[in-house]
Amino acid sequence: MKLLIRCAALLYPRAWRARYGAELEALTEDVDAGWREFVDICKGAIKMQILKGGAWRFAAACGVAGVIVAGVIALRAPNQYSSMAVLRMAPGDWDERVDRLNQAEQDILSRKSLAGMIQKHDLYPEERKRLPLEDIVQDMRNRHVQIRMLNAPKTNAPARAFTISFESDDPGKALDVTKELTGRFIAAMKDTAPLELLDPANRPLYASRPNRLVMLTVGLVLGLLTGMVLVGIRRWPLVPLAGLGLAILALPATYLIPDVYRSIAVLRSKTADPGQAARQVVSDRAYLQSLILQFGLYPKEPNAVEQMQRSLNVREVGAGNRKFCSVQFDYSDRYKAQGVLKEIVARIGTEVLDPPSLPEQAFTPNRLAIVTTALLAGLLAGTVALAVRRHRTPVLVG
Amino acid sequence: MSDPTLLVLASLADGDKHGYAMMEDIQKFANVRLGPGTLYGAITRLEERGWIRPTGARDRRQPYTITGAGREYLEAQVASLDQVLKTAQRRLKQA
Repeated sequence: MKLLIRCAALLYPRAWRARYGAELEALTEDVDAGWREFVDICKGAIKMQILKGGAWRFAAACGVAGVIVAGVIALRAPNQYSSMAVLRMAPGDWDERVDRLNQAEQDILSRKSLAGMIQKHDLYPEERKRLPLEDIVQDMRNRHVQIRMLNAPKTNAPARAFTISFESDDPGKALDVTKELTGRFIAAMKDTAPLELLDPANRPLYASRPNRLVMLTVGLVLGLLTGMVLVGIRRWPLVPLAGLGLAILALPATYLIPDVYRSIAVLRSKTADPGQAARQVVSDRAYLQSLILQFGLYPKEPNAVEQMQRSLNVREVGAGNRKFCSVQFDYSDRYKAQGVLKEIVARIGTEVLDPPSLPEQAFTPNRLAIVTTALLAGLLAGTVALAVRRHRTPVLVG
Repeated sequence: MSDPTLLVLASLADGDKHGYAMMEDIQKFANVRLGPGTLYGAITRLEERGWIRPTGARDRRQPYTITGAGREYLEAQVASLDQVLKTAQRRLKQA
């Protein structure tokens, strides 16, 4: 503890240590300093560095502290190993094969299937003691199992090949689960769209995560930024005050902007162009007028039909793919947004791949972006005001 | 009252003391335990403002004394606190 206290005392600025260092050391001997005194000395040193120390040196010290904290986190984070297999579909109707593959993926990654794998391979033993199996299955599906379609090089068109990978803190389990997933996909598709195993699952030799070098770099950068911010707040309080003030004013102002919700549907057609059919419907003014009356849209707007046309959007999905399109409708009431889109989609009449969504959150205004912009603008204004104040010529009186 | 600078001045008003003696004295009269970093932060500020100064020979256990300016400042702060205390007591009785 004496050594730790001495190290903490070294955090004080050199000039301060020259004046008070010996006295502080004598005091820590008299009080028989422990952890409380250690923390108190660290806090005192940080304050003194902010007040008296060189800004860059303090920021550098914070950078070092950031590296240490990041290093501790990086060392404690368990290694994750990823095993991968590559498969390819036999030639044929691409859309049909993708549909079958999606169906097989839903079955293989279902709750029952993954729960069975978790038990069989004894995956996530620590998590199973603390968390419900449902949560573990969801985590496995969302984070640790990856199924990715590959594009052909140069053309960027679908190459009929895809990868299956599984990540685990045990390289053996990563290999076993990937092998099992691969086997299940091959079995599921063998009668309809046989798969060819291009590259079998490998036993990973090195951890894919965490990238400790990146973590240390992030720790260093965050530490430096924190140090600079702390020095800035102490020495130039006008700057953060202006930033905070503007951000505080901006937040309630964002609530004056009405929320807008977006409902989206995805349509498909194997023969006709669904985008063209959708555009015909949304440009039908008489039909839109009937929807406005039916749902009571835009009650105070004189040009309701034009307003509605601006809020409707039809887009092809996938680069120039004429077989899929999305239709979206923006409105201030999320239930009406969905209801109107359902009517429009029914009128378009093509196959619905993704039905009109019920939006959970407003997509505009983006309050976080507005408040952040106000904060940055305030910081900039504060900096400018400070610079102007410092360079003003004093007015002579008398 | 937990402001370290006032506590140090109050402690020194009674006589010269070094750091450990101040800590012990403040613990007794205010029931506040100042850490070494907090205490020497206060001593630094007070010495910069000329309200205390080191006394006697330079030593690891350096005693400090309150200056005339320090006494005036302490008196002003005590008067202000006294005013607040009396007002609060009166209002509590009236409530």
